[in-house]
Amino acid sequence: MNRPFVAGTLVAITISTAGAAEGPPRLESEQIELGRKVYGQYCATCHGSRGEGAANWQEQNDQGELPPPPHGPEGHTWRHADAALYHTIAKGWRDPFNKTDRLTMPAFEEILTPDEIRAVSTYLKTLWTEEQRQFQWEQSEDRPFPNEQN
Amino acid sequence: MPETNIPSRKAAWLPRLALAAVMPALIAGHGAAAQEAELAPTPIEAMAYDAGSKALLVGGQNGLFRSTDEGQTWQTVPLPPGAGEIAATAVPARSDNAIYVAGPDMGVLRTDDRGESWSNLNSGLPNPHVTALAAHSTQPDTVYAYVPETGIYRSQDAGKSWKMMDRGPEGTSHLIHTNMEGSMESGWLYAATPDGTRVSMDCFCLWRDAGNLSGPITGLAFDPQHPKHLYAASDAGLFKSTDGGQEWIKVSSPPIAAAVTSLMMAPTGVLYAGADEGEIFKSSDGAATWERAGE
Repeated sequence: MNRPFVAGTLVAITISTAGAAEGPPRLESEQIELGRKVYGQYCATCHGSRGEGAANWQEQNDQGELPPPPHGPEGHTWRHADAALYHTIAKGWRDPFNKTDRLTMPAFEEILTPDEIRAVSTYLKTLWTEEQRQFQWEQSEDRPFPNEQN
Repeated sequence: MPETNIPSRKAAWLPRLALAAVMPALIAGHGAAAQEAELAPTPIEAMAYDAGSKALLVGGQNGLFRSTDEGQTWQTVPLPPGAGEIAATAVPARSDNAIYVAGPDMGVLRTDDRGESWSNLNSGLPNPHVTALAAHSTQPDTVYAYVPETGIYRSQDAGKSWKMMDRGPEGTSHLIHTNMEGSMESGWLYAATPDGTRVSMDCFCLWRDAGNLSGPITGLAFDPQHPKHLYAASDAGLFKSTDGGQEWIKVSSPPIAAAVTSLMMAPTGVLYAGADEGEIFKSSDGAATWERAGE
């Protein structure tokens, strides 16, 4: 083995290692499957069987409420860190521009276990582009799921 | 964060990029000192309040000025030579003498010593044409910059690096961040546009109309003590919202014929309005009555 080859190999390994360290981790298939099942049971009614959301999700209705958004690349789910996704699913969310007091997104902490909430979040990640996965992973570095916080 | 479909403006911005290239990242000790000054009769484009030193900051074509006596006297805040017009200024949350300025030729600059030295924060911005800037209302290191025809960039490390977040409302002239409750993230962004105000959670999830104001919005402010309270200026007058921008009512305008060109509310509850001819007015009762600042 000559020196240039050694150097080239080292560079390649370094780049490969660096790339692996800077990308989001592979999603666990068991979590995806559990999340898919939970999503189908509790989320699909509003957000669509394939996460397509409501057709007019960007327009407030007569009550000032925003219809359920899509979860794919065209939506905004990928913009939220893991901690925010968990919190929104567990506690729900009320758009302050609602003209009613009811939650825009229902709370599921009395219905789903913490692992099911993490699993459904994991399933949603399968709907995003690589760029969106990367962005959301970077957002989550300081704001992971609750049980992953130090 | 996807940055696809961003049109290249490299050719159009070559002169400005060249200027930016010769400006060092830290522009230290450029020699100018703060001096007593009078405001020139040119539009007040930018206003901010430094709560740490209780100083009012105003900017425009003729530079940046600072007053610690509610506008009775002014001192220049020295800028780097050739910095150009100021379109926006902002003070980070829990500031300790830090000031951001932005403009169509300067990009974003920051000083931590009241203008004795400046840091050029344009690394990561597509060009130095910045027309709106907002500091996060609670996170000291987070700042937003609007680059026309490209979008809104966010920095979470006090301007050292930027990330393209969203195209933002077209023609944004003023940008503010508020800590109104109810955001899925850490607050809300409001944009003054050529046709009304727009609002989004600071996740950039969705921009939507904030009420039914129409036409160019020339000034936009929120009350730091009551973040649901907003003020907006347009050719049709001055408007106030007490519900985060859903409904607006017309309130008293400063007693001037010229247009209001910027608005800002200090944590003290005083609302300031800058005008087209370098005049500054203040209201301590939520825009019910006005008086000329400094009198």
